[in-house]
Amino acid sequence: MISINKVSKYFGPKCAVRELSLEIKPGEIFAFLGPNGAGKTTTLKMVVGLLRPSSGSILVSGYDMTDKAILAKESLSYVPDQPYLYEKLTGREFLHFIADIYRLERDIGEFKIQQGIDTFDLGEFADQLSESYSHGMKQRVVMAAALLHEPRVIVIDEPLVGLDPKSARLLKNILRDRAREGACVFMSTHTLSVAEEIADRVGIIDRGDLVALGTVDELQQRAQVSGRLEDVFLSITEEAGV
Amino acid sequence: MSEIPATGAAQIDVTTAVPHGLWSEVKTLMRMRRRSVANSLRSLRNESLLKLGFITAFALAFWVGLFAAFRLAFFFVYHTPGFEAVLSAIVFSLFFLSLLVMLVFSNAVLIYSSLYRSSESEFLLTLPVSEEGVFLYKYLETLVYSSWAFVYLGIPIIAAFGYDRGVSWNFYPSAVLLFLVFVPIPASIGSLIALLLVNFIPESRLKVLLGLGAGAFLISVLLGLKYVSGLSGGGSLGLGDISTITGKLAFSQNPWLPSLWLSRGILSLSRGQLPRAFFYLLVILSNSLFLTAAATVASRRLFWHSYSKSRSLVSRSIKGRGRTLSRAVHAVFFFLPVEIRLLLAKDIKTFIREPAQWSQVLIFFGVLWIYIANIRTLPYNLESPQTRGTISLLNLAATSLVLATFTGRFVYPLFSLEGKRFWVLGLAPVKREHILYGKFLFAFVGTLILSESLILFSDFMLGFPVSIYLGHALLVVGICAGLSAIAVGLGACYPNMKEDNPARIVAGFGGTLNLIVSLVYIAAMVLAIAMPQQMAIARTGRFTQSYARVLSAYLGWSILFGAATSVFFLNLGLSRLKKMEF
Repeated sequence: MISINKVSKYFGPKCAVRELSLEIKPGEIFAFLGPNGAGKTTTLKMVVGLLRPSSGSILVSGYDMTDKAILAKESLSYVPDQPYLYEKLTGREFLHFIADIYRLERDIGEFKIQQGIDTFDLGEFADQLSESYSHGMKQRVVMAAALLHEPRVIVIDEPLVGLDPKSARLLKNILRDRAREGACVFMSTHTLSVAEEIADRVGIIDRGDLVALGTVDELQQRAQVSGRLEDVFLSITEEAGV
Repeated sequence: MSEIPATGAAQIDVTTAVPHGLWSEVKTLMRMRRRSVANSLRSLRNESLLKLGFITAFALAFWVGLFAAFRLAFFFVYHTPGFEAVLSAIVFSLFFLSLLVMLVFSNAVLIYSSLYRSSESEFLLTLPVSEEGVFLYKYLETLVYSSWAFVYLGIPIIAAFGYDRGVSWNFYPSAVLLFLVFVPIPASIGSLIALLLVNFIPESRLKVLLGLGAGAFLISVLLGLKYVSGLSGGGSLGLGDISTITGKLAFSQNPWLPSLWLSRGILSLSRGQLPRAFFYLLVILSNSLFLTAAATVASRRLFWHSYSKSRSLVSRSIKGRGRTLSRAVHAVFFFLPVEIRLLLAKDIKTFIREPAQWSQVLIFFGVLWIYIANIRTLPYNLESPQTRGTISLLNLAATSLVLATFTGRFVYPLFSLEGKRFWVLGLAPVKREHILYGKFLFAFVGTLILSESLILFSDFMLGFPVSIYLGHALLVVGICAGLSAIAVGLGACYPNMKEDNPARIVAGFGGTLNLIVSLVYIAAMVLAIAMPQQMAIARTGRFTQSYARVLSAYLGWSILFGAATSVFFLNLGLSRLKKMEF
């Protein structure tokens, strides 16, 4: 589903991501971890087509992000850490706009929009201008929009930021369900407990280099730490920093 | 909250959905924008009638003023013997050429910020929308902004022209149609410039290039003044001067310039030469369509690449650079409480690190400096004290107006720009009045340095005695204090904490009110000295004796009115600031 092949990204002379290769398969939830400024968000932005790799290639659903970007984006959804909504549109109008962009047929669109509103408990807020929403409410609308066209690839930057415990639980369940149905989820997070709870595999990036890759058990073995993912993460990143 | 029903991933097969063409994408995006605008208009119902009425009245008054000014200008051109035949074509072609240049520049800036600096672009690029789809949508949005301004400014001009020439009713809609068809030309040229600059010029060189552009603009102003200085002095134009003017401005009549097509189209319409006007309409339309297509094709090849490039810039370390400035602020303002000095240093650093801000100030004041430096070479009769007095007052008014745009554009939004960071100041152990005084001092000292030097230089070039230097210097202190207090006070009264874009903050009700109050204040201050000064000069024909009385009378007025205005607006802002929640 997502194939990253020897991708590097330079910001001027600074290397943000170096020769990264990664395969994320259908049905897999992959958590991308790393300290601040390690290259996580840069990688995510290259995967969704916001940034162009300095070298290497990225395939999403078999389409190269450089020259078949539209086809790649048809199957993809991106949820950034700072949700973007049009202030002067209501939540429902925003969902209609997304349904139009993904060319959902009218009936299916209406059904999916109502489903998203019910699922994320948008209720009365759905018909208010989004300028009045709290951060968590915006995040819920963006999540509903991201799932509207049933994407095969879901890319999320910090999925739980701003969500209340109930919404966070719901989102984790939804991501698991989507993966079970064959979608692949690529998420970047600092919330290690989420990665530990739902990720099938974890990748740790530090200063642009992928320093560890595997299941949580495999990483524990490699780091020779039997504790939580947090201890594994600290052990590996400190080791890489030496 | 219900669990989402399992419907199966990729249940909706996007590959069999209705195919998306470029226009279909743009239509979807524009439909969303229409809805957004409709919601904004609907929410106007919640605004106070007084506020809406105030803005409408100001817009209408501006229209009427523009109409009256152009009515006078057209009357002069068409009713002075020998001028009509020679000057009308030149006036029109030069006017539209200036407009073309300004529109190209403003469209390039608008499309640059809209494509490369907005969160919306980032959002749209993650959706299955083509690069040219995003570009065309942003281009049309820019087109609506610039055509709105163009038509708003153009209608009173066209109305004044039509009124003077006694044209038939169909001239007006036809002229507006010509305007609307013309607008895509500067918009597409501006878009191409923005796309090419971001794509091919490295950021470090882009700043150098913009600096060179500003330098070239100032040099062109200098050359323009040198041209004018070749005319005979004495305050009136002779036939020789007209032929000199037409010779020197012949470049505006170049047949390759789109502004000339518009100018000739309008003139043909006014003379009832409809086939000729229709010809120019088609020339403009075909070029508009061609350039729009060219910009769209360029965006397909360049936009994503340039967007990614603009987001892949590395920020340079500026460690240590701010320390000297902080030390200087603490040393110069040692007598102020330390928290005011800290706030002052913060605002100065923020201002200096935003070249888009100070470069505009530099250009505005650069033009005034060049003009004043060349004042002795211009065709004015500087032997006459009356003329020198008039010029000094005009310089004072021009400087004050530039100051008002500076305080309106940069000082008024200062409180709003604290925005989401306001809790830092709100929770800090700093008195709220100190926050307000810090911003006032920042504005007052900045405007005083810029304007005082300019006015004293103007008085020196006009050869005035010291008494007038002192009078004008005092007046400038009053104007700077008043304008700064108005902008800071109203900025605190009408904050827009959600907006990060200063241009949008200024466009609100508070920004408009600030502009109007500033203009009224300038008029009151300048007119108060203008009338007694000119009357005294007229009575005695000299400066020194007559001006002593005017100066002493004015001293009182300037101090009282300036101080009262400053205290009133600072108190207004302070009372609002004390109640502000964050």
